[in-house]
Amino acid sequence: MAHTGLSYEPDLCGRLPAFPTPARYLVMNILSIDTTADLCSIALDAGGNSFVFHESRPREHAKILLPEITRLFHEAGIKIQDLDLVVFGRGPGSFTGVRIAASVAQGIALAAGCPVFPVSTLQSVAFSAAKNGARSIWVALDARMSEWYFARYNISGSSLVPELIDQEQVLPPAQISQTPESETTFCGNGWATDYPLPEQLAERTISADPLLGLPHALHSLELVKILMSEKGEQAVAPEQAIPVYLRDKVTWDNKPKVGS
Amino acid sequence: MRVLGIESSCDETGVAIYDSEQGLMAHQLYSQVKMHAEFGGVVPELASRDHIRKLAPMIRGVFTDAGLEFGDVDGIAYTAGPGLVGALMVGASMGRSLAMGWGVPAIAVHHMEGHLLAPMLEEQPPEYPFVALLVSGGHTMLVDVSAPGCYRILGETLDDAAGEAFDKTAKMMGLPYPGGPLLSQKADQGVKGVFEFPRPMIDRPGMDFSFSGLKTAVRLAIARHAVDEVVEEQIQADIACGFQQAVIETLAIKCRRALRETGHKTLVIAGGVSANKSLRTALHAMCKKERARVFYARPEFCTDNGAMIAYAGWLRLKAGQQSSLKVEVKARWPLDELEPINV
Ligand SMILES: Nc1ncnc2c1ncn2[C@@H]1O[C@H](COP(=O)(O)OP(=O)(O)OP(=O)(O)O)[C@@H](O)[C@H]1O
Ligand SMILES: [Mg+2]
Repeated sequence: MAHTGLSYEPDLCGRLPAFPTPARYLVMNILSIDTTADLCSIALDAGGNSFVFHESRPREHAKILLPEITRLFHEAGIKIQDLDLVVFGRGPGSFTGVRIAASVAQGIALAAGCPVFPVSTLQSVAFSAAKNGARSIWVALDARMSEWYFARYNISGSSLVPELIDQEQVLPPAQISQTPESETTFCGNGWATDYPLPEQLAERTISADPLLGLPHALHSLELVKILMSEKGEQAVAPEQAIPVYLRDKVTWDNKPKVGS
Repeated sequence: MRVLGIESSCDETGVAIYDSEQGLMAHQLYSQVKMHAEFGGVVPELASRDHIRKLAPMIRGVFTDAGLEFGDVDGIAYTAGPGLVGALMVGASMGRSLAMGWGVPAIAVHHMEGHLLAPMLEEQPPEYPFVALLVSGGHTMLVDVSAPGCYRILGETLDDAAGEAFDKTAKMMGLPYPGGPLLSQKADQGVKGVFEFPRPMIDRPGMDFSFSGLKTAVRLAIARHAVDEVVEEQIQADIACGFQQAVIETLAIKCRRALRETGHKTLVIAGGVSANKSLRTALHAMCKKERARVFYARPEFCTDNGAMIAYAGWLRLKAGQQSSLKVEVKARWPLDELEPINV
């Protein structure tokens, strides 16, 4: 069976051309998925309407992701081939969850012949807070093993795009040395953990909004539209849509056993 | 009917296109062996991370290699188990979503059925019914294959798999991971009969295997001949030869038992260890006496590859089977739980 004209191919040297960035973000058909934590979060923007599936379904992502995506396409009345862009939560988050989102995003984008936008889960949560008016935002996602995925963001001017200060990190919260401002907003499910905090944070009463605990695929989708239109950020070819784990020490359980 | 096959159950990324008219049209394999060697074994998380980097470019690659327009297939087959769950998840999720996007059926394939059917890709494929000896890194079993997809397990290993026994013994001799093929090269330099190791379980009825006792015997022999923790090259080769002979003879005896019990006149060997030349020779000799014939795949299709998955998937898709949009992968998946294939 032959398929639609998929002109987006690497050249003979294996280089991929830059994706043309359509100016019509508002009318693009965009699928967004995030499975980096317990939430299975899917959003589809089609013909100016949004369709959303957002449920806590731990360890079920692989089973429900494609059926729910199909249902949203059905509701929206479009086909996968009509997609202009696929957005996915590229991490940090559950390793397997991040890879499920990446594999599905790549698979669907390869079939649709469209690009992929890997979005940071930390920035997505910060964006959710920014939509609520936050200007200084600290995001902490539970990384297990008494660590957080952590990043600080600022909102400046009229843009809602959270601008990263320093870098995204994985660390025990006790290692955080910065002091939050009085108006700093705390979000992410990391704040609900009981990992030991550094002094300057332990002293503060921190009330993180539980509704801003994890990335929401619809917010990621909105963020990406702004990143592309305001900041000129580019989507990438499906094969370049690779997870970001932050935690790279993964071999502790498999050291070479001396003498065995 | 043309099928894209995707394999990602362990430390090899394999992609292939099989066409019922044209045969195997293209296949690509990327082995992560070097990456894992430094850890002396497969690190599951590293394996998964590598699969997601390699898979999509390889999928594009096989269409180019086959001279096909991207997406010009009638179905997609992906390995869904047994294997490393995180690694399987990458190939299964991508394969299933690609099929959804292209609007073609998809099928979850059993990795060991893939191995078992790999010899079907050769010019002279075996005919049903047959006895299959699966000897790989994670499995050692004898299977009565009465018809396509109809598997009855005759015997299995009670401890180590044959490939695992090769790899562990190689490690004892200081060979780098995975040492199986290297150990077998060493064995070819050795003298038969210098070391006689126990033939595990041959005196017991049934067709189960056990290789851990043999491993211990080899470890003792190495310790006995070590001078300042070093064993002389020739002695090493003789030990390797003794080990390989013990494994091969055990396998041959159980295969003969399986042929006699089932009455089948065809033996199919598959999985990484089926690449072993001495094993092939020994089984040819045994089968000749039994008036049976032995079949195996070309060496590159004995170990993990996408071609065998594309073929196994084609067989099931052709019979009208397909997998739903629910992606499910399994670390364990008994071969005899598979549905028969109506041809
Ligand atoms: N010539 C050979 N002699 C002995 N062993 C070999 C030879 N070539 C490969 N092997 C062994 O085959 C095994 C790899 O085979 P294969 O790729 O089929 O296994 P796997 O995929 O790791 O395991 P499984 O298929 O059971 O999940 C390794 O243990 C390797 O040492
Ligand atoms: Mg294998």
